[in-house]
Amino acid sequence: MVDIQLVVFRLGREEYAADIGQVREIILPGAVTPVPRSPPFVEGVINLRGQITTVVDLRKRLGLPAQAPGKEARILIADLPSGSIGFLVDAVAEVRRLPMEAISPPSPVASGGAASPFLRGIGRAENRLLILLDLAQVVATEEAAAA
Amino acid sequence: MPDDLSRYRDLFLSEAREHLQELNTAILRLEKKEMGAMDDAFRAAHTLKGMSATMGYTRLAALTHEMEGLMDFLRGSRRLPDPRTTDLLLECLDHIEALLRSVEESGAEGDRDISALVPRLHRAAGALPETAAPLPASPPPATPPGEAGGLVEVEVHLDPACALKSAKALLVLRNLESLGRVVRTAPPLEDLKAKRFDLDFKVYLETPRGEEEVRGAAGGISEVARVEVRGVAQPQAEARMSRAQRETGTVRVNVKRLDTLLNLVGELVIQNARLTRAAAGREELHAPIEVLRRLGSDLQYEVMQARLVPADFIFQRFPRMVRDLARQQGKQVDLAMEGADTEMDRTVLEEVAEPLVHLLRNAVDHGIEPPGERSRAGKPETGTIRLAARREKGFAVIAVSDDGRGIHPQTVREAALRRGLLTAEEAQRLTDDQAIHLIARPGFTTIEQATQTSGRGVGVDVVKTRVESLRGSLHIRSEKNRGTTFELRVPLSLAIVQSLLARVGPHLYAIPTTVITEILEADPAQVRTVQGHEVITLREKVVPLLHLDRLFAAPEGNTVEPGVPGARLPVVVVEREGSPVGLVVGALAGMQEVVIKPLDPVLRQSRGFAGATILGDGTVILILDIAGLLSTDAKS
Repeated sequence: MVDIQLVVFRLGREEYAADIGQVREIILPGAVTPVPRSPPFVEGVINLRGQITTVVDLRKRLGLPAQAPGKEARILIADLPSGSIGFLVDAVAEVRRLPMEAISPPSPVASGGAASPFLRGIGRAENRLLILLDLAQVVATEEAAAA
Repeated sequence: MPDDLSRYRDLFLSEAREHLQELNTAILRLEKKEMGAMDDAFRAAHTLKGMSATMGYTRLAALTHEMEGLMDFLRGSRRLPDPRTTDLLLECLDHIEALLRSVEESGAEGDRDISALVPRLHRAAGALPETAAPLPASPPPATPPGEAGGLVEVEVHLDPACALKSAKALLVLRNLESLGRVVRTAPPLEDLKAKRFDLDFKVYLETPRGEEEVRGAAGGISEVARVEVRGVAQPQAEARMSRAQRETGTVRVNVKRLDTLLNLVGELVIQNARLTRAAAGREELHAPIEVLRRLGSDLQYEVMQARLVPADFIFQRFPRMVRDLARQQGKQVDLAMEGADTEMDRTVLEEVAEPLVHLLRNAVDHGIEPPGERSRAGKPETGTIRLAARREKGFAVIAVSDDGRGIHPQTVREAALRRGLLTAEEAQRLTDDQAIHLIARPGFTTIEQATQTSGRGVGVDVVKTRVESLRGSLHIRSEKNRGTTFELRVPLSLAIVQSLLARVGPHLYAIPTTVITEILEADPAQVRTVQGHEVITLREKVVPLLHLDRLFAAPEGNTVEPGVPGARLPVVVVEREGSPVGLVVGALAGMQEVVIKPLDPVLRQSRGFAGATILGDGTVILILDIAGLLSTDAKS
């Protein structure tokens, strides 16, 4: 049986998850410098130990209603082929394992159609449904669209 | 052993490329009838052969061996290569280049077939008059073994009756190891141990001992039938170092290390500024902090110096390129290079390489006329392209000029008009100089390809964009029938830039001082409107104003704070394509050196920012890219 290890986080009432291999660290949101004329889902840039890191508001990126970050908000720093990118989420729930068998391929209905290129599948854990995201795709699609 | 090999591979590649370049240069000199270049070509081929053999790259070794044979033959008969032979030699170099690329990418030579070249090389020697003599059968003498730390190839043949091949091979190895260091074996050691070889194998030994002693050590074992010892050229041997290295005693450093070093130095400078602020009012800290600051700035200077390379680093590949292009087009072109020793930051230089290729290609394709047309115009049949680099106040200026047909402003106007890039009225208002610069507009390219009338313009917009992204500029001068000059002006180094900090709304932005022509405080009473655009008059010149807060507020709809009525407006005047533009900012916040850090590709589409930097207090601020900022503004 093959397990994958996931970082589980919340956006609104839904639970999402990303492969832990893509997430380098989780930080508290701090001062963000906005970038004028950038795509609307870009929160801005931050200073991550001397590296300029772009932060994407995952809510906006996935087309969820905007909401000011609350006390539990976190930034997941992902190592992607294009560099490091931060993803702002409402809260980080846990890091857990999930057997591959518990993951079903994305269905157009569950994913709402538009967001599907980022989806890797739906994971079932106990009574919960975890929406598995491919973080690299979340920004790669945008780059392709921008080019 | 494979580890050993890969450790040498980078060294091999970088040195092999150097020798390949020497070969290229030497063969082009031979083409210009400089007999002396033959020795250089021969030496480079010989070294390349030795290095390749050492590393076990048999195709490279075989090809260079054959080239060396042909060159030795030419040298012996004191003949210059004829044009066909020159072409053949250059073709061989292209194959060597491809083989090296394959080694770099896959670690092996790949399956490129070079066998067809060999008979052609033989024929080239045979085809020369008064040369019935065959190629010299024996290879020219290699480096004699026995010099301190020299590398020798020991070829061992075992007796066919030998029972324990592996054991014998290992015994030979052990004996050889007592004389020096075994660099490599062929086949590799694992294969020798596993009996995966016939009866012969090779050992590359680094030893100060003589050939006889080596032969004795290997041959003194029973069932060893025969031993051959040959000296081979060795990549790391001092004698094989390039001339420049020998003269200055340099070491090779991976560029990534220099990048890291520069980043670290940047951090140091930033933290120092922070420390200075924290220590305000503590007298006893001032002296050590001042020393620290000076050390930091010295270190920064040294690192920047270490990143400088001469322009020749990219120039050296151009003579060959221009020659090949000219031949394809049936044109005669001389490439004259000046200032190849001008030093620039390596990253900047690499970034301008492609634009230069573009401009040189244009010069050959469209600038220089065919020989017949040139002589009808009373010009020498051979056209001249000049590539010149020089330094000028923090900038490197690289000019590509040709003595070709030039750009005709009227033709450019008409072409732009047909393309709908501007109206007839606008076209007539343009000065000739401005008209010529139209060829750098995006969208001009296709016209040129379609009509080929005005003679220039393919991809000039690409060149302009690239140069501007480096915070540089492109200027074009042209005179009908006298030729055209493209002048690239780029900063000597990229990473650190003197900037003006300006507040726009709640945030600070950095504006590189290289683009600023003037800073002033305008009296609001002097601001007029022309067709709905705010302008001020500055020494008889009308300067359009651009309010950065309004530009940055859109499209998010952030509120723009109304300024205090009657307060003076801080204006930073910058240049856009030779015309001034006044950027209205909220407040000026001083000058500072900032370290440019790149932005993520996701943000590149927002054009207008060259990067970001981190201030002493840890705040991230954006650095304006004026060209990008103004070009997007023009579109919207």
